Amino acid sequence: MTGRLRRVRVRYRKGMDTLKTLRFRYDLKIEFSAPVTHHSFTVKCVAQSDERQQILRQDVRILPKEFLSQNQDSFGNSYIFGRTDPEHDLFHVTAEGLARTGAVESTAAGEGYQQGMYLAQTPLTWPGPNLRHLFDVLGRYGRDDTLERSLRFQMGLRERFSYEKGSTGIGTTAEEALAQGHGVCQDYSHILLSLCRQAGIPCRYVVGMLIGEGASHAWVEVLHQGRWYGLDPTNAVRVTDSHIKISHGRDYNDCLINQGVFTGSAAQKQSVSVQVYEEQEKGSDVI
Amino acid sequence: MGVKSVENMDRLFWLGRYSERVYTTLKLYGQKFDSMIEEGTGGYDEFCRSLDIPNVYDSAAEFRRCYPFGADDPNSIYSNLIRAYDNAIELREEIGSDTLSYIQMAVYELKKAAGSNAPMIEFQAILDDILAFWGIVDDMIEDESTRNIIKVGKRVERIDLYGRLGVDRTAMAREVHRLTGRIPRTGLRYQKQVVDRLNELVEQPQLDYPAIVREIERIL
Amino acid sequence: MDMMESLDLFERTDVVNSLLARYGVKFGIYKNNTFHEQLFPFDAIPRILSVQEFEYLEKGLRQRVDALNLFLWDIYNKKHILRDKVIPEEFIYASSGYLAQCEGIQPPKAIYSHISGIDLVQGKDSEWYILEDNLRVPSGASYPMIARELCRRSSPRTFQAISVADNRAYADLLKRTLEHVNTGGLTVVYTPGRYNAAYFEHSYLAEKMRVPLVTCSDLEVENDRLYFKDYSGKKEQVGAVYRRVSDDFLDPMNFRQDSLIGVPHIFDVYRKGNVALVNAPGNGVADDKGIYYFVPKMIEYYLEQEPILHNAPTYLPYYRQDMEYVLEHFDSLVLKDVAEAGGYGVTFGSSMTAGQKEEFLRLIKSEPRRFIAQEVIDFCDLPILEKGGKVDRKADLRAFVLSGEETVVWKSGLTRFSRNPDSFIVNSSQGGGFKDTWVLNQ
Repeated sequence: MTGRLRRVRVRYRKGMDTLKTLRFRYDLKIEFSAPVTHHSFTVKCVAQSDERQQILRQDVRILPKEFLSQNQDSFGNSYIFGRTDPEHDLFHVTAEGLARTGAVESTAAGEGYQQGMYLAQTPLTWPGPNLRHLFDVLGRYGRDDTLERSLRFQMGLRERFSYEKGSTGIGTTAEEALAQGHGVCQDYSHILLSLCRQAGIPCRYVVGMLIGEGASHAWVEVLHQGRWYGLDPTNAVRVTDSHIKISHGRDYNDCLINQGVFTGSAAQKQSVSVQVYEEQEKGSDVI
Repeated sequence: MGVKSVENMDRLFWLGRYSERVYTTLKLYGQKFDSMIEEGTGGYDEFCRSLDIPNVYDSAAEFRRCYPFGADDPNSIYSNLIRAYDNAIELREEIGSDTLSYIQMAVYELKKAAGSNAPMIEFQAILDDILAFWGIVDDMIEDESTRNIIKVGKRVERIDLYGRLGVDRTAMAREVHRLTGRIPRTGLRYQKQVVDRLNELVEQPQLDYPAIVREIERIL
Repeated sequence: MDMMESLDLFERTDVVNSLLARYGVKFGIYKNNTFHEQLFPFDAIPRILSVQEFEYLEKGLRQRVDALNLFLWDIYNKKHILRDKVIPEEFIYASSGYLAQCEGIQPPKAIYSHISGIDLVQGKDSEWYILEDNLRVPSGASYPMIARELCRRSSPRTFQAISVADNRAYADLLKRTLEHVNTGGLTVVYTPGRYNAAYFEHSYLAEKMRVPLVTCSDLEVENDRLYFKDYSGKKEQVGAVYRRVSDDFLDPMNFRQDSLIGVPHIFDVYRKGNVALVNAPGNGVADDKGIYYFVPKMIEYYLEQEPILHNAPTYLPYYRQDMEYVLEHFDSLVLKDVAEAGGYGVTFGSSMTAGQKEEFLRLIKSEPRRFIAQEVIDFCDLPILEKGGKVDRKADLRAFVLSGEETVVWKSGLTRFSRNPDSFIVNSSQGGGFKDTWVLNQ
């Protein structure tokens, strides 16, 4: 679901002084090899405003549809569900809009005792011998705070794991990916989640978009002093003003961009294209 | 209850059909069984032909074992009774436990008859159960369309069987007339022109049995 | 009991059983991957509860179920019980019954467990102990309900002589409970289908409540609401679903995607507050064998009351001192795997070979949260009729507690007994039978 970021301008410092206006377009196409009917779907590709990112405008289109309904899931993500009964062989979702980032780099979390679900390992992040060993190497020393510690895990991971497209699948666990030594953004994120959770740091999986990426991207948020901070282990950077977040959850499975059931026997081909670029007229009124 | 699913409409109809099929074929088989007491062999080929089922039986003994009791024989009385049961079991809340119990008892009786030297005794109990089933349908089921769908299923099956067996005009006309009066009161979607055509067919001097069977098969 | 000997109910056991067969009182089981329907053997000797005994149980059960409902709301919302460290967090989040999808959802009237099946046993000391809470889709109420009907038919004299609280109004009680949370529209019973073990019960309860029995193909979500599809194409809104489909299979869009018996988006409509799902999804977090240990603490925490009914003495190897106790007294304990149900995953320390024991100890040390250990309770056996005489068998009691406008304990219950004289396991799936449970009127 991702390509590797080659060159990207990301600030490495905490303070940010200028706001960025990002124009984004998310495009998801599912092509069916034969017509399908009674297609129920849930789409989680709607970015929401929070302290770090302000969504100035967003236009989501889903075709074909019979009815559409919108709600928030248990993690706080916006989602759209609906159904289309007549025969169709293409399902097409687009979301385009403008986001403003750069004000702050973190978002407020609820009470600490309410974040326990982000502390529990999931089947995708469950540590086996490789992850436990990596945690022993990286995690058993230091008196650093949770954010510094998470960044240390991220740096440590960078040295031991390399990017390789197509080498893992959507069901690959963190343990499996680490054992083979390479993977994509989803695997980087799951490994980092597993390490942070072994260290007792609540953390969550994030799906979003990034400048220079052609597909959707995944990263991690860790809880530090009552706030969520984004870490992008694939690029070994902190999340500042070039990322647009779509959703978060305990792991990949909580953030599926598209889910569907339908009647008909057809193979599905999914293609995603994402474009994010900085708006030239910085600061102008775009609403 | 008011609301009824497509599946339940379908089950009620087929429950009516299979209960009738079991009832009529069991009676026919009873006559055959009686004549086979002395004759021993033979005659079952004609029986199969008259019911339009394939004669897959190697001997009279096999016919006597498989036609009423064969679980693997799709045309056996047993298979038809199980189909009635399979429909009925999913209709408990629609027809009531008391109504359902008669189909359940017929199943027990047929299983008992399989091990009997005088199966006609158990067969009588099955006929009693089916008659009681029809009686209780009439008497206890409050919902008119529920009642009518079962009855229409029964009529449709009977016309179909009578067409194959070539019964006389009076009997056939009676069944067609009963169906004509009942079917509009079911809520079923049926072919009105088929009902009209059946009424024409039973008025003809020579009954065209294959045409009657053809028509009745496409009534829904 | 002496008085009962002179009445003819016991002589009529066979009559009652043949009537149960007539009405198809069966449960389904899978053997070698094929479905079989089996009669559920009935024993005519009832379990009898005096008025006083029932009142005591009633108070204790209401208290327990009220606390469990408060716990479920708290866990999926504010989590005060975690803030106050009454239950360690990991017992919640590592539980397979905890569903993150249920976080923040407000079920109608804040009721999660509308129908609770609480399993109890009576010890030889005549003390009652809670064995297990069943808050997902507890089954079994239909069996004593129909058995009573048939016993009254078979032996009217017995019921003339002894005044027993009528249990046949269960369907009305259940219907009231469902209608209390109905958000507007039909009330339906939603079954996985005829090949479910408890299909008899689903269809019988629908019949007695006079509500439609539906499967997934009868239901459809459209524009934030759930509808029943009529044969004519008409759609009727559904406001309460007594669903006998487990959480996993309820909705392929929110739970197992491969479910063929689910209704797409039914959970999304529930999330919006437009339909009541009974029982609420996510209840598994409260009837987990590990959470069981904490139920008395919940009663103290939420209700500020002393628990009336007690758990069987239970140890959590998770706690160091409990682990030590378990290791020391291994042979006298029964060990339960929290993830298993239906009498599976239960082992007695005393019945293990040396090798099994070693293996088990290794497992318990590596996954302490996975097991609980309990003292073996000396059950009060109940007599059953066998070959013209009476023999004693292990038996438990499943009490049904219904939470609607108020919390009500059904004046009856399912008493199950083990077939095998040496067995402690009374589950019907493992070959046991059942008895009626009588609550005396005076």
